[in-house]
Amino acid sequence: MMPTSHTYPLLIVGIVLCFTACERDITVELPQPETKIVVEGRIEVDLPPVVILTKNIPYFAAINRDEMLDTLFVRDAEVYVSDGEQTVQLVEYIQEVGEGIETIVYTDPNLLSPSIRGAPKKTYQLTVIKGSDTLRSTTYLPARKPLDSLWYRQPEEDVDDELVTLMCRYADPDTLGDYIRYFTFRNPPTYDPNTTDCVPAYINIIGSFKPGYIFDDRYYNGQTFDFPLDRGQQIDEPVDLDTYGYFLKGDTIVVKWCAIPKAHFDFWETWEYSVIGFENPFSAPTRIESNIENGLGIWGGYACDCHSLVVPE
Amino acid sequence: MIAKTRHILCIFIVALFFDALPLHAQQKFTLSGYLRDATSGETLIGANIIVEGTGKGTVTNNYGFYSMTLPEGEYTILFSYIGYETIRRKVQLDQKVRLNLQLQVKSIEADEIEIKGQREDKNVESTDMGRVDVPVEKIKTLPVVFGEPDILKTIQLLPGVQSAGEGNAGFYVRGGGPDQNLVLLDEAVVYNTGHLFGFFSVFNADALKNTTLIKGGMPANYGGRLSSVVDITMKEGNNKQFKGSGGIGTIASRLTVEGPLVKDKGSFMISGRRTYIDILLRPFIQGSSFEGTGYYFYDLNAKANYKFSDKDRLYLSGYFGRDVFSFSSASRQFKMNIPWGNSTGTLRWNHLFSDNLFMNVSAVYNDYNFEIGAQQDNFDFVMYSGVRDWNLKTDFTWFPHMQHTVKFGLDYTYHTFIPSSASASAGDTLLLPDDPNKKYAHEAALYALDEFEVTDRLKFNVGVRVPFFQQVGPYTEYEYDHLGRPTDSVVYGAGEPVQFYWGVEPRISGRYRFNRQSSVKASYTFTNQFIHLVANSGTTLPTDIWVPSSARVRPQRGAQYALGYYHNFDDNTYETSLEVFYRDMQNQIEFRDGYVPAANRDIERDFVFGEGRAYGAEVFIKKKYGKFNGWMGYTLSWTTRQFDDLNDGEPFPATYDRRHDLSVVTMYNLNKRWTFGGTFVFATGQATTLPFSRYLVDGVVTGDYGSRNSFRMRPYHRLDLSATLKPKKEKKFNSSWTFSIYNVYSRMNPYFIYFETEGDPLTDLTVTAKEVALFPIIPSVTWNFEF
Repeated sequence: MMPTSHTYPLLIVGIVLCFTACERDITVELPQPETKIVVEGRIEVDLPPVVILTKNIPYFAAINRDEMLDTLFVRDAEVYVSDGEQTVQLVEYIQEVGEGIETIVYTDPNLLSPSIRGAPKKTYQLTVIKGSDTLRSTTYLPARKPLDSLWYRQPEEDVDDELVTLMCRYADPDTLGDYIRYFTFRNPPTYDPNTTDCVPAYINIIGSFKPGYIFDDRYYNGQTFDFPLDRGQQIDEPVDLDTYGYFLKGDTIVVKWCAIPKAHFDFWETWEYSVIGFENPFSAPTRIESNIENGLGIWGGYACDCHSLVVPE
Repeated sequence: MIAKTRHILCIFIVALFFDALPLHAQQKFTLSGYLRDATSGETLIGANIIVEGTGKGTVTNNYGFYSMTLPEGEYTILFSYIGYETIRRKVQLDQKVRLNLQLQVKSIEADEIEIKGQREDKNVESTDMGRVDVPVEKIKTLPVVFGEPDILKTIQLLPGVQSAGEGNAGFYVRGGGPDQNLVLLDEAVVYNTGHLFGFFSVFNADALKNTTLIKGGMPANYGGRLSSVVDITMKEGNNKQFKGSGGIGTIASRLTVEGPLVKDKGSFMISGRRTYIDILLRPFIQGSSFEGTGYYFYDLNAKANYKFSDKDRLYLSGYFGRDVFSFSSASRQFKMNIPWGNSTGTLRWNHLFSDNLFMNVSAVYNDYNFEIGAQQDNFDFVMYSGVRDWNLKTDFTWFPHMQHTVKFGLDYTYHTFIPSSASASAGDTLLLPDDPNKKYAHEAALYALDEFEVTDRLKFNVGVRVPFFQQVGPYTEYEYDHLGRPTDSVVYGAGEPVQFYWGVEPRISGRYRFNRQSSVKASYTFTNQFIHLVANSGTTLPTDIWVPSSARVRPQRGAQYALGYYHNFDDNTYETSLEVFYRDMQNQIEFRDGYVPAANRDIERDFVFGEGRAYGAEVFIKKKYGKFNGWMGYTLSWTTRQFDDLNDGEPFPATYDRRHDLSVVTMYNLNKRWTFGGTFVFATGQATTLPFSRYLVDGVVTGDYGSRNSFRMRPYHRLDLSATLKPKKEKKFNSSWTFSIYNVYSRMNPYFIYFETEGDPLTDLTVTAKEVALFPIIPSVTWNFEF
């Protein structure tokens, strides 16, 4: 959303480094870490809970592709989600995420008619039992806070006449403590532009939304304002300053705009800072704020709206 | 603690009283005056005045003034200052005598044939512990990175003082954080001492006269910081003739002009410095993603003084410096401008009430500001932070008796703290920030100290400082719910008290002299620190934010115990010392785990509090005289912190922990034309925190950090050499060349470690640790001139 104080030291260090610095590979002897279970769990409005369980491995450990599922993933765990009224045990599915690459996901045993679907303003407990370890967490689905509108604008400096800036109008509710995480998706194979429902988008194009920024309404509580919305991209993807954040003419753009609770926001904020700050020599390491008791990761609620825009050629 | 202080006060008063008794028995008279440099008229700070044959004496104060009261009689007095010809003067003391003298700079040849028995033995004689005076002229022949002489980098070569990192002007003293050093420029506090992230200090050596470092046994006239005092004085300006000097260096140039306002009565000095890094780097960054980046810094120092009478003198001095970083993307509408820097202004009045009562009154203004301005499309963003002080102080020095030097005074500061405040606008909509929550505070202190010689062998410096601190309104104190949202607030009006602290700080040091060559000293110092800087990194950054003590943030408190043995050899040619110290620090501050910098958030909510401890031993060997001179300092120390909320409550090594720290500094004056310098440093590797394991979040490799500062980087060591050539002197214009080689054997000292990942995190990821070294061998040339 805005340049932050931790981005510019990188620029200066970069300049100094490109002028004089030298680097070399080193061997770092680290102690054997304690094994911890990592939760990546989400529950969205109208959707069943989805939980991925992985574990940490020594920092320099190599991955053997054939043993990857057992090395990285936690299998045969008991995973329960409760909304206070009923509890469902999630089951383990193998999911193909790329050519010959499989991952493991825990979700509702009946995906077509799940026992628990996310609903705004409700609280959901997660319990994971694996061997002698029990992990617990709670999350909350806030009320949905949709965008007012989406439109596009041509950036003035675009000499090739190819790029567009996606613009949006957002009316922040008058209460402090509204947190947003958004995602964007270019050119989904199927999407009904007349709906703000994310369910079909989710079902059809799972994993194809790219994360954008997170927002905290401390800076704009209760205001309605227009601002450019950058195209999402994975945090570890290289940044091309010429195209960063822009969409292209002819794109169909879907924006998934999700209200999230504070603990969920804190996780992504500290995670982003930790991952970005990683190569910043000035920053002390940021500990990631997890809401998982006895483990790492996040159990987070999303109350999302999907908005779409077709940019003409 | 109050009982202890009362005890010290009693000793102080009784000692003064008993010493005053003989006054009735024998008539005494005062010898006083100023000592100056004969060529420029600059006052000499810390010059020695010794009564020949007795070993008794005094030193000039920060304004070059001395005073001593002796029984009636005829005396031979020696006036000496290192690097100057000693003056021996017979004085008939049957009335009060004012003796203002001008000392001539000593030539190199004269240094070799110096008369024995006159060399100063201040380190053995005085009660000072851990005090080092560094005349700025002396550092100019030392090798430095990019050829920029830097006083803060020179003091890092002293034992007990550690560099904050490669090429960095930031420093740590005896296990204390960078905010625990009181850095004064003509009495004004300098809050941020670094340009370009600390690679250069804000102090332009051309504008400076003297630097005093006190790292232990801080006397009662200083306070407000736990670790050290760096007291820097600017040149006053030549009061005899107009002079200019300057230098053209690899990345910066300097120019200084000085001269009399009224000959022998008043003078001025103005000095400027600017870098041209931006111009030099431009070709290198053209076409890279850094194109459009600009950076420069500049400094301006100015000082004027005027002597109204022999009793009154007025000084006005100031500093203004800015770093400016800018970035504009050529391919998109993104612009960023980041200026930051300090300004200080000091007005001082010296007054002599009598020949043995000297007063200085100072009015000081200083501020530090940091700002980021950024624009992209219709989005505007401004963030600023800073600190501003108005300070009034009065210091008296009273020389009632040969055995006593009494100092007392009071000090008052009004602080304004501007936390990191942001405002932004998107098109016509102003995205208003929260209340930026400025904080205001009064800080005051009273002090008194007496340096008294009990016997020829035993001398004490006993003092007490009583500081007060009050945070005042306007201020709104919030209570927060578990989601961090304000739920309740208490509003304080302008000037209304919010939180009050005070303390009693006993300061005592003593010296017992075995003979002319050796002494043992001990000191105890207790200090409070009411304003704090919590850095999220090991170095000082422009984004660093100072905060006051408040209801939540209690004052840092520290006690330091030191014991030392001092021995001079070969008629004070060699000074040696061994000091051991132990420091106990309460209410130390760090950021909580999971802290993320954010504007408009009261930073103190992100603090956690704990304790610190440091102990160690320092060895110092110095050769002061001769063609070949220099020093060697070695420190063995341990520094730990313990915070209930960090590292599972287990103690951990502080970022400032270095087991071994060695500095060797040598200078060799070959002849009138050539001077050579060399420095070698060795330090245990820096403690850092590394991830012990990794995991995936959203398919991105994420580190899980091990215990705090549990990893050590490789040791740091480096050799620098310099050669200074002074061509034959000309009548009106002199110049010199300083050739410097930084990091002669190009040691790739670790600056930081990062990890590179390659491949798919799920199938074939490889992780490599990379160690980045900042400066390989760097030769530089600086041309200095005088006219």
